Amino acid sequence: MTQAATTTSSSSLSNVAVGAPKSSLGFTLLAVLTAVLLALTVYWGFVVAPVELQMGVVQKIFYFHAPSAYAMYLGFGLCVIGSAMYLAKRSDAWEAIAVGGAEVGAIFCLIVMVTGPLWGRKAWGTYWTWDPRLTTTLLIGMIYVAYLLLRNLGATGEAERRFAAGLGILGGALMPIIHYSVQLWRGQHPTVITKKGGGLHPDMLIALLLGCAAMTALSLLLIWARARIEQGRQRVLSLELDAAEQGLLEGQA
Amino acid sequence: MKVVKRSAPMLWIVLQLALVLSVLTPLTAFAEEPKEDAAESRSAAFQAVEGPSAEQVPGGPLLIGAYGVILVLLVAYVARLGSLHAKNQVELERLTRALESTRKG
Repeated sequence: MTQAATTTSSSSLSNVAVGAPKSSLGFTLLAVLTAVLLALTVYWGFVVAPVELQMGVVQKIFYFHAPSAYAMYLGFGLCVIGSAMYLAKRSDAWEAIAVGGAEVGAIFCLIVMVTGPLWGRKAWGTYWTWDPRLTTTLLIGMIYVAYLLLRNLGATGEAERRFAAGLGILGGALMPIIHYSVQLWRGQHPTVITKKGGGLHPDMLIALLLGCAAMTALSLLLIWARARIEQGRQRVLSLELDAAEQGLLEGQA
Repeated sequence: MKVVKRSAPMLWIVLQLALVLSVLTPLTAFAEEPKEDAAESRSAAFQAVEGPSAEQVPGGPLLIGAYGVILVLLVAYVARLGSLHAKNQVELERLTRALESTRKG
């Protein structure tokens, strides 16, 4: 225990970012943009866009269901990139991005898996069917839940962290299968946007595009916040270990 | 023997009737359909619903349920982020206090 070591640890602590994204101007601007886009989506989807002829009001689930699926892809995609970069560089920052992406992707996957069956109850007469897209989406959700359990419950060692990163990359391999499952296999899941223009009323299309922009901004905001918090947790843990190794925390609770 | 003599003409009559009917039956296709008057042409049949009907799946509650779930999940996740952030702050303060007391000691 030396005075120099104590001073060094104290100065390191003052530099620790424990996930305080509020101080960032970019984060604040993104938060404002997200709020505006969400409000616009709700207004356009419920006030401007017409009620669908066959399904009625339940079709309006679509304006948040499909964008949530894209936000899920974004989250899981960032997890794949973060995991690959972690394996290549062993950087805590990339691992924090991977954790943030997986967690936010899992939240949006849950939103997709709940809102989809509610729409299906009206459209198909049943909450669930073993359609290829539904089944593969459920599978990818389970893979990333396993990733998060591994990270949160036991992945403190380097081997566990590498294994979790591998699982994060493996889960990403399912994303193209989910996206193209409608074209690859016959199923019940509809495809509204096609190469020929799809079958959306212009106001419905604007609501969908606003929803996509809003959910993309929201997912980036949440991933940013979660990654910063994870980075702060990693730094606190690292400093705690350093201090304990130097005997600075002896006799402390 | 008497029974055989009486049944032979009956069989012949039945065969003749069958032949006539087989010739006449296709001719009904050429019969003119009865003309409908204006009232009958607009007639519609109202039938009582038996079993499940199409409107038994109301869209409103499903829509409210979907948006409610989205809101609850997002608010819960933001609360989790706040909780994790607060936990980090507590850990940092504990570490700072411990190091300060070590320095003073």
